[in-house]
Amino acid sequence: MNSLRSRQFLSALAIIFLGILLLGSVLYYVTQHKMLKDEESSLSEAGLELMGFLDFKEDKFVIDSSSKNDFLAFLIKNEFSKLSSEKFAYIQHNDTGNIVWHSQYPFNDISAGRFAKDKRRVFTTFLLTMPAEVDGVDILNPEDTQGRNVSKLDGAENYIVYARGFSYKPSGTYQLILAKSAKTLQKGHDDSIRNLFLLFLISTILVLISQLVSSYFVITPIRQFEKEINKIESGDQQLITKEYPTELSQVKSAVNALINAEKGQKQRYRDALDDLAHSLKTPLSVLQSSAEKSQNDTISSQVERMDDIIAYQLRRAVVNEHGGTIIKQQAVRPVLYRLKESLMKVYREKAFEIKVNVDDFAKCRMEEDDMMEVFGNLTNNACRFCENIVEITATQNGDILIIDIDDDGLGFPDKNPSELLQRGIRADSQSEGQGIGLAVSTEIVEAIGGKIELLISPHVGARVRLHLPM
Amino acid sequence: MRVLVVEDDTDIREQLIDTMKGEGYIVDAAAEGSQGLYFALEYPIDIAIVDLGLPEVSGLEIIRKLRDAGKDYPVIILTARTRWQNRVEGLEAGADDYVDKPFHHEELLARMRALLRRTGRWSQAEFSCGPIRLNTSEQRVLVNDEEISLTAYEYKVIEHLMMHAGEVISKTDLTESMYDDESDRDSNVIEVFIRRLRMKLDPDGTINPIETLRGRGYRFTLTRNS
Repeated sequence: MNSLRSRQFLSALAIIFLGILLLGSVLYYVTQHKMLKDEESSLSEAGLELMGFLDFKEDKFVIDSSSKNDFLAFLIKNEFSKLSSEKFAYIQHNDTGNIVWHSQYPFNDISAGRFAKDKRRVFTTFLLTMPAEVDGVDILNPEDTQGRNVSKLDGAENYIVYARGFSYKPSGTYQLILAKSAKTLQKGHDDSIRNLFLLFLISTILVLISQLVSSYFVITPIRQFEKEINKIESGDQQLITKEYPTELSQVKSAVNALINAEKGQKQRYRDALDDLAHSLKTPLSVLQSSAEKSQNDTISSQVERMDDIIAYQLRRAVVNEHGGTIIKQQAVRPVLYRLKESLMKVYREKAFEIKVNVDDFAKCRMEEDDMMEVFGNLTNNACRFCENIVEITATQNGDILIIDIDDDGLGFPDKNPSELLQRGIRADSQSEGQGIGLAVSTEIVEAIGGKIELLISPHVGARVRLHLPM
Repeated sequence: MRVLVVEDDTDIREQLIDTMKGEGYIVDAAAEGSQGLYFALEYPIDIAIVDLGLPEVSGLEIIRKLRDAGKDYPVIILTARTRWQNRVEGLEAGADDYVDKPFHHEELLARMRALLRRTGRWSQAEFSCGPIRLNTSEQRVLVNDEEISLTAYEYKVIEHLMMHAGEVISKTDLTESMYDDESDRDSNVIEVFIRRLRMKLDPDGTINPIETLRGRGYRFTLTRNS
């Protein structure tokens, strides 16, 4: 249910299902109702016509021979000619309940204008008593089983019945019953159900096809958008650039505006901190110089301390500002090479080598500025303390980039070297401004979810190991 | 030795000028980037100290332009912007070293001496050319181990000539190595100083240390002793 495609598919399926259920029910009801009404009026017309053919002679209902052919045509037209229980008519004496006339007899007998009295009745009769004075029609609900089996039939059956009461004095009152099996209605019902099922099947196939089409037209731009976001995260592009449908173009503008605002804000923040550093350090420089001239060691050492605090707090403020930013993947090698060139220049008088064993694939999620700060601090320390070599090596462990910065100097103090990672502890208290480098680097690395370890290098000096998320 | 100081803060600039002059440097000081760039390009500077955060023309721009103009003297960045990004940008632009603010003047001087040594402009505090020995830290000149009495201007001329031993030095360059930017300059007095120096260094006229090249300038003829 998490994917847009499955949501779209299920909602469409639910709408189709409910829609067909509702539409089908209405269609089914209307169709069934019309069929019933048609059958009812057909039976009603046939009943009235049949009454016109019947004569009462010698206490019997007979067909007048003069209208024999018309009656035959009537029977054929109304399908009474079949010897079956599907459609039939009979006349019953209301008092005695005797069947005095019925339509079920061999067709040849009718053709000969006589009745075969000995033929068995093979039709259903109904427990009805229609009063003769009521000159009307009563149609029974075909769903109610009103009939009883006179002959051996397969179970009870539903019928549509037309009944009409009439009297022949002095013989008494009679009722004419026309009945038709509801089988045809059942067939119509089954057809409707089958049609509804077919409709559902076809609709489902249409939904599936529409899903594929909508996936292409609707989901494709969303996937494209997602790809662009991934590229921004990995640092391959700066902003969302492609054209999108109206609904997504607003999101595109909002995301781009957010990225730009964040970049601008970060730059302004950094510039403000730089200005602050500049304006604080300039008077400190004057103080430092004056203290030197007057040979006042107390002021001089306090100035150094203030400088350390300012440098640490300002750099830390930049680190804390990382929260919520999109950190793109950045290659480590170019930064290390720039630093190598710069540091070789600074330490030109010292005969040593900086080896960078890092390829172009070594990347981590750290901004170039921060990377420069971390590697600058750590490599500078290594250059300062080394004898002959500084070696920087990158390896990958899952999604963590491990960078080792090794030197062949004296290494870290044996007693609790991890204290060096905390603010205010300096291994080299003689050099200005360097004591906070390791602590600031630790804060930057921890802010992006990495860590720093202090180990012993293979050159028997110090090894600073960085674990950086890729 | 001529040093260019480009620093916008008056106090720091004045302190630097004092320190440099105390060390015997000729100082050209500029408070603005554009003025600093002019000095950097037009004066015979031996070393420059440039603040990165300058109004108008930035320190980085000064360094880039002077390098583009083919000036190869050492440049030290002086900066309160102590992020590595700033340092690396400065070094990539052509600076040779950096000093973070606040700084110890002794440390800055030590870095300057190291850079001057490195670039061959000042191999050591004391060196000799033939029988003539120059001590730059004490500002003394000895001929055959006997100290010669020199005025401050005479010392500056002989220091400049000996620093660039074997090179042709124009009258203009010599004049500028003697005066800072606030002094009245008179290139005619150079001839007077040269004559006096010849008299003091070579009274017998046997070694002829200073050669006159007509229309071009002067050359210190003795090579530096190894």
